[in-house]
Amino acid sequence: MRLLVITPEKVVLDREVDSVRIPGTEGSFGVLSHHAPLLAAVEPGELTVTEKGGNHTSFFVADGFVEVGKNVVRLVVDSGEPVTDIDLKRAEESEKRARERLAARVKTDIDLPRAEGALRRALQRTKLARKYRM
Amino acid sequence: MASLRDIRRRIKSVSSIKQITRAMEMVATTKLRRFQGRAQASRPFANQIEAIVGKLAAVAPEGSSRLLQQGAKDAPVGIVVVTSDRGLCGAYNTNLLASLHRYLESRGFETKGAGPASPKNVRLYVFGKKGYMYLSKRGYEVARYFAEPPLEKFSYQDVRVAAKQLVKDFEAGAISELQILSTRFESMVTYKPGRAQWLPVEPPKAAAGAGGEATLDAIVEPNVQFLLDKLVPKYLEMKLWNLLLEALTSEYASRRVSMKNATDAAEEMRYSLLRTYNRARQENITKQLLEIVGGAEALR
Repeated sequence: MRLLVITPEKVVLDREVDSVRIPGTEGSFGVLSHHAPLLAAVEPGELTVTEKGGNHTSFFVADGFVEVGKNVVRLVVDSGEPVTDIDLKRAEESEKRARERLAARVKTDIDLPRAEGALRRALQRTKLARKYRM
Repeated sequence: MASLRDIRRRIKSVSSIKQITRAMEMVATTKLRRFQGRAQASRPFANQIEAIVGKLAAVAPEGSSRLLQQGAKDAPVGIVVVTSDRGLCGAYNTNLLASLHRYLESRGFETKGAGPASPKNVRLYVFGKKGYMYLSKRGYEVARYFAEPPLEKFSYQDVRVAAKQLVKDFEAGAISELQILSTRFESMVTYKPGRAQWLPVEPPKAAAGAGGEATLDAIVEPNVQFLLDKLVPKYLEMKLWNLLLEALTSEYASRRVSMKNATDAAEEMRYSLLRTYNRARQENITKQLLEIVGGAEALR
């Protein structure tokens, strides 16, 4: 089946795959060839792709949606990149920033959902980067 | 007749103007290409989001999203005006601002030639320094001017922040609807001001299926409401992003054309100055020759 990972900046991934594991809002789930049509929400996390030969590759994906239909899986997400491309330093910095903002929320009226979202993304990114780099 | 030296000076200055405008033309061309590329790169994302919104909106029960309905009745109409930060781009800003006045007139918020007015039933949001300067100079009240970052540095993230603020105003009842006036890019030589309704969302027509049935034959997880709440803001961000990219592409297309015209005009001017210069030089030589000949004659 065909897997597409689409972000506003570019199409990150477009290739034939065997199966894929997607971080849905209701938990991670797998999609095999000829899956029934599906529309689901995706949250920041790890996207694992199993290629035809059995090789696994991992990607980080942010908030978004997945649409499965006609043997095509389309992920529409805000951002996404191979785990090897994650900028660990940047992710750690944004984690720190997000924590600071959340800690200061009593004083300033910051955008709470936005800070939380940033923290979630940063945490997933650092987690994945560490998992695959060490 | 101007002296030879004056003409020479003018030729020099016209030539250096030509060099500058040519450089600016080339810069505009590269930037134009870059924004075109970005606009193209965002198309798959836009298409996909649009397709899902269409599908979901078709099956969503009436009133499931506030963003799909007209907002507070008596609230002013929100208008987003997208102009450029910098000038030297031909009639780009003029055309757009003229279309703003036309729009205000068509809605009965302003009468032609009534001079500076700040219609109470309109709330203006501005992208681009030129538009902001124009409007504030004429006494219009600008509810929000998105000054940072400069337009050409806008990233998707920045657009998201802006979109969120606009949606917030709508939800808080500060505006009843939101129209975006921006320049639409049709081709390298055609770009016109256009209007798009941003809020309330007019869901795109679902890609007409075999029978055009309004059912969603897919598993929806977790549920339609959740997806819609998450999707509609995303759809709005995407739309704003695309309109901005299109406006920027148009801006550079317009700047490129006007710089090309300036370069051509400078070349023409340089050429005619050069002719005048040569003619004057020739005249001078002839005059001197005559004097010499006359002098020699007198000595004989």
